[in-house]
Amino acid sequence: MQSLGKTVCLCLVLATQLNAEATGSLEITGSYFPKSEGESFGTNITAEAKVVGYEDLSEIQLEYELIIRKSLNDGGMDIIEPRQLVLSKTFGEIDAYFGYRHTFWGVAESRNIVDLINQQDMAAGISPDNKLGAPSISFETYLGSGDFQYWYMPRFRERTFNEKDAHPGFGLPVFPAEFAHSKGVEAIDQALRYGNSSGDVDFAFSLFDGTAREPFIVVDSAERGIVPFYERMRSVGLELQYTGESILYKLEGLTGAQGDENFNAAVLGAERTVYSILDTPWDMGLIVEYQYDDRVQAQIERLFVSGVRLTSNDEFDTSLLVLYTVDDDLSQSIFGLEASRRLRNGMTLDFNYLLYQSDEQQLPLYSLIDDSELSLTLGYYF
Amino acid sequence: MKFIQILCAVIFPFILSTGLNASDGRGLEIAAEADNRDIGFGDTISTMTMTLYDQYGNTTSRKIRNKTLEGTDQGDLSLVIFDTPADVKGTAFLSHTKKAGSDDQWLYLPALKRVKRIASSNQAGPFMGSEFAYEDISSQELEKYTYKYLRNEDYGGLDCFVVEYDPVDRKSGYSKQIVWIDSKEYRSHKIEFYDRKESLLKTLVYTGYTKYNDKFWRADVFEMQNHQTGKKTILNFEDWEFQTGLSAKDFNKKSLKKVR
Repeated sequence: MQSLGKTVCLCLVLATQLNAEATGSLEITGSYFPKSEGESFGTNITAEAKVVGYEDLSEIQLEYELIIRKSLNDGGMDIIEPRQLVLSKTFGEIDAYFGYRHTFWGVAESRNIVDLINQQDMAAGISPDNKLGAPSISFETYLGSGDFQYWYMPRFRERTFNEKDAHPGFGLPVFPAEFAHSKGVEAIDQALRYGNSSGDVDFAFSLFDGTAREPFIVVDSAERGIVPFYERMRSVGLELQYTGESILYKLEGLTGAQGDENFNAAVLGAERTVYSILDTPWDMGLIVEYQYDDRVQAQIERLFVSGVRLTSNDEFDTSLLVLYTVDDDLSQSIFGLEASRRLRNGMTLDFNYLLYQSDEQQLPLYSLIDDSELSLTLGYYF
Repeated sequence: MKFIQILCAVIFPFILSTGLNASDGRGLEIAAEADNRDIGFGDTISTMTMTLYDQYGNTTSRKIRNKTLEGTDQGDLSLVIFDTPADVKGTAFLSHTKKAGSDDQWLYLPALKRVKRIASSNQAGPFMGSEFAYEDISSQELEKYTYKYLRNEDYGGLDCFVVEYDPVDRKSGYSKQIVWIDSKEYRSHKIEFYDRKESLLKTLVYTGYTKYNDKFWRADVFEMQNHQTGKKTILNFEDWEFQTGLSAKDFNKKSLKKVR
């Protein structure tokens, strides 16, 4: 508790040192795990501070997004992270970037299989919004009316994991990772992407050659711990979105080879918005997505996602998202609920509920049942 | 975040641009002249504070920066950047307005570094909890209304045309709008909005007109009063700059990601 307090104090000191171009936030999250068993803790408190800024250093620009996170009961969540710490300079029509960079590729809502630049900060939660900065040199330019990107990534970042008895934890310690490439984290990754729009259609193509972001989880021979194993991967990605007046159709596709195995993955979905439901200011979005992934790491090959998003259009930006994810046998599922509201300018409140369900012990989600979680986050922005 | 979609229009301060398929020759003439007088503004940059008042007098405010590029064959291009509330600072909204059909709109979410193409907004819905609807502040095109000249009338010491604007689109939240336009400069001074049941819903009053570049009038204050709820919203515009050299390159998805 003492170190958590120190983190909060450090964040507040940082906040007072911010220059005019910098902003920051401090989030305190209380979590309750109603089905926690064994040695796992039943509650947790996490503090996360973020400082985001921009400095114009004559012809070079510096962008940064620094994160400090401290958890009361889960050391796996503790991190000091440069999600962005990047210098940029423009050469004619080309923008060049050097440093830790954060980007986003994809169009879908439930999962972005083409989003391959940044590693997942999985210890922070299963949301794909939690990412680690990618050490990289990258270039962006406009070709015609489209955006072209090239990424050179000389150092791989490993996925973060929670501690063995945390939520979720493997029950065994995580040993140092192993890699298919002999150079390990120093193997070079490269990626290309071209994105454009034509009328109501946005599209992008991408190529990736590098270390797979998602590892295989291997239990060591003596069962003393687990070893993440990272394969090499070559893939082609496709993003497509059709935008209508009240409906969106989305497709992400990824095909390629991982080690000696070919693979295919896709997310196909639609979101329809019904405005001013029952003559109220609330809008309702209906979301349906289908996920397919035949890579070993995916564990579940086919998932159906359905959900409802409610937005109030009020001055508090009140919103509610409910997502239900189930496999094609209807034998394991994840129910998620996210509600958020601005309490006043600079202060927000978020409520999250995550429930894992499975009837059969051998199914992947069965082991996560005791990681079902209720959490409340108070955010302060300055 | 939906409120973001609106502001794109705030950039086009003249809610009253005009109308083409008029049912009344004089009404159309007036609306078209009001529109013509704003042609050639090139591009603008401005800042805006939006203040929301509830029925008890409590207030909440937001700060927004706007950039607009005047369209030629197509409609205007606009970029809206949110500075407050602090939790959405840096969020940006890009709109390519079309003279016919739905606008193309993209949203930039800085925390995710994500540019998201979004569906056209619900024009009758409220913008960011304000008393402005999307259709109130989006770029207006002549084809969106039919027009009826009603009378001339003194308003604020100025001789004004009073013109009825009837929305063509059945999805509009209004049955009609009554607009006061001064006969000298063709500026809008007041609009009464009537709901689908023909009851007076809201009144918008423009004040603090300033002439820029010897031609283009912009109101500093838009005050929208909702008569049915007692709430009101005031938009205060500042720091207007015209013909700053913006080009189409400042209004693409790449520029959206570089917003500061």
